[in-house]
Amino acid sequence: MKRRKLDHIILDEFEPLQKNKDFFTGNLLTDEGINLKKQYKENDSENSKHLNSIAGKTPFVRGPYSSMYTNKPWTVRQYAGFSTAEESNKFYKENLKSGQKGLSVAFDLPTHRGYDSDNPRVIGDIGKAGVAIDTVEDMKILFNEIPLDEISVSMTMNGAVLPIMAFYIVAAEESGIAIGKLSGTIQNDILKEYMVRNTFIYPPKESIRIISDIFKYTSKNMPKFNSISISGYHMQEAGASADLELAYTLANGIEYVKTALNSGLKVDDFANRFSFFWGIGMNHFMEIAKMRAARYLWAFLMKEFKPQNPKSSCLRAHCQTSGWSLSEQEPFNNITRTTVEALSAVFGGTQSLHTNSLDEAIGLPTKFSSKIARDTQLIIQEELGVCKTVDPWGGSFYVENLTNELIEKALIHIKEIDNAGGMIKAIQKGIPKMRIEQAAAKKQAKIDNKEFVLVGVNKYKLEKEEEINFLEIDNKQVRNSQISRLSTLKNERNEKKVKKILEELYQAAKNKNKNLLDLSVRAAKVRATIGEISSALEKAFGRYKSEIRSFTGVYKSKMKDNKSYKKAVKISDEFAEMDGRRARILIAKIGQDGHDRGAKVIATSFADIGFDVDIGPLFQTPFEVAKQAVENDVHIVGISSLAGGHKTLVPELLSELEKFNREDIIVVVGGVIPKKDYEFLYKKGVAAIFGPGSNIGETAITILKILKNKL
Amino acid sequence: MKNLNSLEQAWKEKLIKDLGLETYDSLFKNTLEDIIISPFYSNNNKTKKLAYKFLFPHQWNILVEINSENINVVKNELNNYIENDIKHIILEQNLDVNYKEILKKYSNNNLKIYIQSVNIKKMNEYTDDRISFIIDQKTEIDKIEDLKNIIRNKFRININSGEFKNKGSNIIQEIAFSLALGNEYLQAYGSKVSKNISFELTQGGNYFFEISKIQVVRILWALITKEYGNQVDDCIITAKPSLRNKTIKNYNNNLIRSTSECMSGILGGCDFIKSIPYDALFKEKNKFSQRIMNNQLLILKNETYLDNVCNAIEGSYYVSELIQVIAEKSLLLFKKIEKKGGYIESFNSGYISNQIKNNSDSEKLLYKLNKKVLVGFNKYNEGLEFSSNKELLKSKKIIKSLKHNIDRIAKSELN
Repeated sequence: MKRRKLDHIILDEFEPLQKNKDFFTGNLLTDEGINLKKQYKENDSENSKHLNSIAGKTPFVRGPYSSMYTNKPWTVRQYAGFSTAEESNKFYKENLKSGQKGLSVAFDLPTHRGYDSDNPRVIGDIGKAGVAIDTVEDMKILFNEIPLDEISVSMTMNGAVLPIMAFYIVAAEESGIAIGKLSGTIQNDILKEYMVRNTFIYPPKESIRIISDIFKYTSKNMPKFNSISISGYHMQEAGASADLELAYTLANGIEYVKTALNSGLKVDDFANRFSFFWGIGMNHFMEIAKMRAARYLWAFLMKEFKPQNPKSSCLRAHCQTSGWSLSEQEPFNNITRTTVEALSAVFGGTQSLHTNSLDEAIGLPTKFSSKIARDTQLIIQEELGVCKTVDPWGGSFYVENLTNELIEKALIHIKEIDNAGGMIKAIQKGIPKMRIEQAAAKKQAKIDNKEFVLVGVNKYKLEKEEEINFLEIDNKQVRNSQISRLSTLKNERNEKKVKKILEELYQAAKNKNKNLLDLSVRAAKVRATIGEISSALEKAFGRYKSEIRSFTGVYKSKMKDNKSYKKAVKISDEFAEMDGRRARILIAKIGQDGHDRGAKVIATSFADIGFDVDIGPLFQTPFEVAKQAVENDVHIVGISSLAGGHKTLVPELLSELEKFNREDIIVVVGGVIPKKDYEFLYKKGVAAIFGPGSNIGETAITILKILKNKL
Repeated sequence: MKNLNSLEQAWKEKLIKDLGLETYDSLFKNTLEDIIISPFYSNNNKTKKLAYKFLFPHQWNILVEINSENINVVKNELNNYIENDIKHIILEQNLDVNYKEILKKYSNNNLKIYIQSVNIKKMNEYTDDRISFIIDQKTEIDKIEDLKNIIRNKFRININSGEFKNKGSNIIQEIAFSLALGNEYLQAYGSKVSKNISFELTQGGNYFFEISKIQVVRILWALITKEYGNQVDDCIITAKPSLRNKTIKNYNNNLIRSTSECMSGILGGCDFIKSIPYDALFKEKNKFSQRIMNNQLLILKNETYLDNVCNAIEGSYYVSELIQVIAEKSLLLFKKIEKKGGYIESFNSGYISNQIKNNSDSEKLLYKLNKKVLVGFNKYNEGLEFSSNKELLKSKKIIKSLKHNIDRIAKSELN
């Protein structure tokens, strides 16, 4: 048989059959309000303001550095803290040995909020969610045998930023390292704490003063240290869409620039030490575009301050994959999720990255899970070939179009903040918090509607799941050992010197005449504790309580036709008829955990369903919650728990209610509760437990049925 | 690379200012396909003939396979897939199991069942016109004649590149060999089967190369089929993760790898995505890893928004460049095979397997030298040992030739 000759085929002659490929229509409205096209064309990216730019030069859309990963990949920086300084130190050293180049410290909640471990308010929170640090001695153990002049350290600390910075500085000095050599980052982004997460201590204005003092100190003494990391991560975790995360984070950044300028620094002295922190969710290309848009916007916004050094308007970022996107159900699914997200961060051009462990939705990672998380980054770096060229998605009509859309959307939100009189005023008016909470309620409605599918959570569920082992923290043991170390330290130190420096600190806070970090360093040297330093400042500044605002109607507007929502409304009306008043619920958080997305979403959606909703203040003790429940005469207390304090705090709440003779008030718990603790909580008297991913309509129905049965 | 546009020139100057000329030269990376990757691309698309002509299906679908001799297992798996909204299901007909009774029960119109086999006789037993048929490439070419009429317009011959890729071929070889094999059917039957050829490509770790590969196969297949009078722009392409880069130690890492490999398949523009369980290398098929695999695909489908835009790569400077270069090189190799008398001739003469072996050997050496990395295998683990001096010498030669190419480019750059 004679073969047909094909040697004359020429690539350049290729023409697709369909010349105008606009047969793909159909679109989708994203959470950001962007209409996605099925197919993007050249003219969709033509208007982009940034197309003719290169990496390493303003506006930095294609990357903050000219070489990006082609010369050196991003830094693998896993955020981790085990309960004690000893354990964390061991973990860090292992990680450094296996390829990690930087450290990232997670502190426990009492440390964040400036309490010593022996403070009775924080019994349930010590060693949960991170390492407990009370004094410089703990910090020295934390960094024992780690060359702090070589390894960069990132610390997530906002509220108790002064004592923690001071402990870090003194720990380095006392191990013989000149503080000028210290490199790393302190988060120190207090403004977002008033919008989400809530680990503040002092009021906004006073907190800004602290930041200003830190800027002054570090720009003088620690030139390699990033004195602030402005964070959008927690906004995204709290429900913010990409445009909101961008806008509020950058607006916060601008506020800090103004703070530094007001404290007498020159823009080029500090702006190049600013870094940003993004959350990376599952909308793959949106996240890539977000990071590119952020760099453009920052360069654009910084123009106002006329920097001479181009680095001053260059946005560098750390990223973390989203914890919210992970599921408690079938945790191995989270490997896929984290991989997709990590790729977004890399294609977006991050400078360092934390990848979440598959059990992050439950608690602190185990050795097993944290290895997979780290390997995720190593595989991307070493195996996928994605480091070989700069900004590989540059030019994509879709990505360039999204980048542009996000720039424009974010500018609208930034304008809203400007019109409100700047970020601090906007925070006082509650604008950003409200927008983020509304976005969270909308997202929840989409999930409950199955308009947005979470595999294994609201669809494709497994009937019965096998348990995997999670790390459980023996909270009592951690607490006891911290307390004993504290008392030893207090016995050995020079009490007179401590008193003197604390008084000086208090005076300085009041009179604004001395640098607070400078004084905190001196306090740390004489072994003042985190609690003592924080209280000295609190005496002058006061402790901030956030105002609780809520809204209604957002959830309802999306759920009108949803079956379980309608059923919940009906039962709620029936209950009101039977009992003579509407079901009343107190939604409360106990302990030092300030993550209130879940609580806020429940509050607004339950109100839409027909509950009378009271929202308790943050950071309550079990006694305070019980008291409020009794005073408001609620039917139900709903506890939202995310930080692992449930086994200590919930039983205490139940016994406090008993002391008031109000065992009739039922207690339900929602949030991150390992399945193996359910039995324990039921035995203690909890009426129902709702894990992550619970449908809100169904949750309400369950609670209302329990109430009806009691009538 | 030889002709830098003004942006690339500006970037070069900036980089040299930041890091020096020596670093600049070192940033050009060569690959086993002998493709040099430039560290920075910008808008050169206007000069590329293919850049605005990429081909995409409207959407991608999850594709799964069932192969069990136990009829109850088949039933269970089928039900399980249907419950999970998986609509494209292959039933492997190489075993003696009779699917006919089971299939009668499913009246779901959205469901697409494919019977896959090497055995034409078995296929001919089916009379249900809702079923489609996938003929394995191992079936002898002349057996196609025996297909009954009812199957004639519902079958496709599946060219599976796993034969090449899992044995160590590079991407150019994978493309050229697959196309050459497909072309044998065209040589035998002409344009009447050009719509019946489908490709199942094997996604390795090299992310953007693997993305580009899918487009190159589409474009070259369109060019080849055009020669027979019936240009096919929309041949069915399935992508499936490679087995070659999976590890037994730290086996959970395979899930990370296969996720990126499914993504490169999706973004390149596949019709179907298959995945593999993380324990495929060392364990019998089991429920747990199967479920995790399905969930992986469901997550990519439902949570990542990769489903909403079909041409994300279009316009990308880097990907456009890669597609152009990979297409050129693949077409050259394809023509070379045709000159040797086509795929079957080349296979019989040992040319195909020699080519693959050469590449595989080079790749293995690169692993030994840590120039290519599998996490937990040759790095972040004890290194591999060289078994002999000969091996070491050979490896040095390969590195030298890769280096030589880069030097060549750098020089042309300076002139």
